[in-house]
Amino acid sequence: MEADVYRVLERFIDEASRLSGVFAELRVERVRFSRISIREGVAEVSSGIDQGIAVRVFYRGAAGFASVSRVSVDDALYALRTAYSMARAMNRGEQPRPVEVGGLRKHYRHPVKRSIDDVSVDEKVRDLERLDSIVSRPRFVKSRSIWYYDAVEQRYYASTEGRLVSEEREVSYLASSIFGLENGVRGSSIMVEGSIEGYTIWDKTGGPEKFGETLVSRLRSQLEAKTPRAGRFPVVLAPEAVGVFVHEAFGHLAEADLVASGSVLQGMKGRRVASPLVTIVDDPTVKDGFGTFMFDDEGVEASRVVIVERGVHREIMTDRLHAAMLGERPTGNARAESYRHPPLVRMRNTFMLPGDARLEEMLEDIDYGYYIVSTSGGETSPNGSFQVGVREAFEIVKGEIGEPVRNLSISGNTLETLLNIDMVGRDFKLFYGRCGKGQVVFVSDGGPHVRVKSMAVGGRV
Amino acid sequence: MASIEDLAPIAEKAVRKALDMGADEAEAYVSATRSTSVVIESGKIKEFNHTVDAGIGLRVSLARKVGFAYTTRLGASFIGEAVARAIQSARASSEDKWWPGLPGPQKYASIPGTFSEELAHTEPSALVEYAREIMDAVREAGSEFVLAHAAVSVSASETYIVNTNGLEGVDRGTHSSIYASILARVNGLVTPEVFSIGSSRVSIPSPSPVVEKSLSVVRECTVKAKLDGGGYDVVFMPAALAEIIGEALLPSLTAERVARKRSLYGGMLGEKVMDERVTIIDDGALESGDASSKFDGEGVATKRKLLVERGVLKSFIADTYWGHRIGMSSTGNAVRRGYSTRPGTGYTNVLMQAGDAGLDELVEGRVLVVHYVQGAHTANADTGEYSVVANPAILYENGEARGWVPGVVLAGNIGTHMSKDIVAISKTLEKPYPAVHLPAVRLKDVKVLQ
Repeated sequence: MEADVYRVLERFIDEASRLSGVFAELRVERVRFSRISIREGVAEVSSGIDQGIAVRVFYRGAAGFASVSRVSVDDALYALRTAYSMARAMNRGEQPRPVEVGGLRKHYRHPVKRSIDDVSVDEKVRDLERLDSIVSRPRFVKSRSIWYYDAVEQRYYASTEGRLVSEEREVSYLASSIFGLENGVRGSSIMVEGSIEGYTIWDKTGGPEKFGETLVSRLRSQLEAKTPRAGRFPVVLAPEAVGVFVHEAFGHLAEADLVASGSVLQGMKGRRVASPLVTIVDDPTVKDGFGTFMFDDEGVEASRVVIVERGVHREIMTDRLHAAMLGERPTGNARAESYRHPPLVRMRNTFMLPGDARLEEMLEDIDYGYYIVSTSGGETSPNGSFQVGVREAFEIVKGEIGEPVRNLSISGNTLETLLNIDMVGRDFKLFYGRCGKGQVVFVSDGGPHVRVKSMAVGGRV
Repeated sequence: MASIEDLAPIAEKAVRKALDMGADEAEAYVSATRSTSVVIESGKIKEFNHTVDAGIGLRVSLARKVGFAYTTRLGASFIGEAVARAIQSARASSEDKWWPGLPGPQKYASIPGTFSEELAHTEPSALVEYAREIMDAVREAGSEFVLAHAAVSVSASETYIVNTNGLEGVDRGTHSSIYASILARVNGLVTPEVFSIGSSRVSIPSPSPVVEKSLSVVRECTVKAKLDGGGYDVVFMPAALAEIIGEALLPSLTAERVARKRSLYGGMLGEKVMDERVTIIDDGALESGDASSKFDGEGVATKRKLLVERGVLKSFIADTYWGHRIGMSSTGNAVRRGYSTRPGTGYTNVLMQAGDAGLDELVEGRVLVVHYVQGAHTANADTGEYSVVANPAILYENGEARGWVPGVVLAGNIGTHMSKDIVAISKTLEKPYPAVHLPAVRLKDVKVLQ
């Protein structure tokens, strides 16, 4: 594959460089993957090789994109001609020319601890079956699902800047969900783990038994949980919930395309948007994050973005186009789900940096509030209104974590909520997931424990 | 693009090869799609996209173990490799005592209004004209309106399926959609971004009704209103209803959920499970339907099914496997995302029957009219519970819109709503999303928190 791909990339640069006034780029991707699902104890294995090319051409303020699910010199040149003719078809474009970052030749292979290729499918299935066997034991568990995915991702990029960079990494992802029913009460719990260091998910989770036991205990607390009061309360968010909040409620607002189209962060640079205890970054350089990579899908070096520094908004996340449009630096946040799609501004590993508080200190002066452990995701609107669904939560009563509560959501205005943070924990954890913004990409998020003075908690009926 | 004429022989060879290599059964699903779109961001054309995507998905079974593999490389040696991987995958899978085998031969009827030669051959430059129409329509509406995002897209696809039980089918279809997401800035107030979508199988939808629909909701948001406590009925407009029932209710009407004991309606066929004004239909053969096709993801002919009729549970939707698990035949509801996934159970065109309430009756008294909700995906299909933000909610008093109420949280159980809380159902249906045809529904007892 490698020699062939480099021939395609080189030829592309040659041909594209002959078109005058054009900035053109080519992505070639090859993803070799396995999927294993176990539903009610039945394992199903799938595998695939997905490869293709994507070409984007910028010409006189217009962009044309073409993708083909094949890889050859002919296909690359077909895509180049198509993208070029589409850019020309617009006749007059209104976009700035994307920021150029210069020529470079580099290949990077992310280190792995144990390659997914060194583990047989049978062994992977056996490990997952151990997990299934643990979660199948309690009588209240009525339904079980396990999804596992791993892949070797090879991404290549070439542009008329004379840039030719490539990267290879191994991704593995595990999600497991169980549904329970006891005394007429229904509930479900889900847990996710991931890695880009090969087949290491079981080392990270303490093995299938421990992972399964945690999943079961989360479900048990759901089944025992009571309905929360609705209203405004002090809330302590655990790292998993902080991760979702930082990503869903805040991070999207700092994506350059949303800033350009009018998110609440437009024009807020240098202004206070959060409590001085809060620093939020999007960092593609952390070890073993789902959003850890060297180059983005526009061939730009991926660099750390300090979105909020001690409460003040500093930077936004950009791709080449929005960097030019908004006069920002290119940060390497352009990501595409696959070669079938043009890249969008996306997050990578987004998290809040730890502070110095201990969990006990956060709880001790709360008379009544909620401790929110895990979520079912969330959503923000460009005007800063957010909603995060809560899966696992507990009451806080007189400074202590109390009984579990079920199925609620937290919501409000993101910036008000960030300003309402009065304690930030000294701990830290990173989580793994996938984010959908029309296209789905792997991301990480996380942070420490955080206390919010007052937050809207919406209970369900 | 490789056409079905090129791909069909490859698929036939692949299933024969799978048998030669030890499979008991084999299925090849080929799809080839060509799509073109123009994307608008912040009132300007951002990108002009063209995608050609073709591949083959192979499902094989041996000794009741089922494996799947796909490839986008369609040369003979690559297909051979994909067949070998499918067989390896099957060997690594569990023996499934419920495996019913692949479906047998089918009779297909062609569905009117699902293919247009003209749309399939739309000149890409035509899309740019539609995109400019969208931008002009928003500009003419006033400088306070911002066209945040919009797109015009056209696609044409061909599908071929063959299996070793004698099933074989070819279908082709076209589709087009227009999307516009708009917000307004008025006197320092920023409204929520409101989107609407228009779609058609045979032509590019007209931009102006799509733009006007978004604008009409945005205009209602340019004045803020407050709740003053007390109870409010809630009107879920078709898009908000689609979002909530899609996440929290419709999964319960699938054979898979029933077999896995996760349905709210397992074992309740023939029982009254919803208000008698509720009738829900899934119709994979709907004329001009966005999700209509001759056959489903495993080649079974599509059809119309009454799922709930006047509140009585009539049927679930099923693919061959999950149908078999609960003792029913496939209803033609195996869906797949092209060649790259195994078939799973899913909806086609969903329709809920209209009621008899005029718009004036829906907004009588004090009500919150909810156009869209934020966070529907966090609703729980296992319980029917949801807790979401209305975005936007418009307060109506005595039939008049008083303005947008920001930050309204709505909580409830959609299963309970559909059986006990319906006050009125609108007499008109809308298509808020492609393939979803719903009325607006007025509900009582929705928990409202601001």
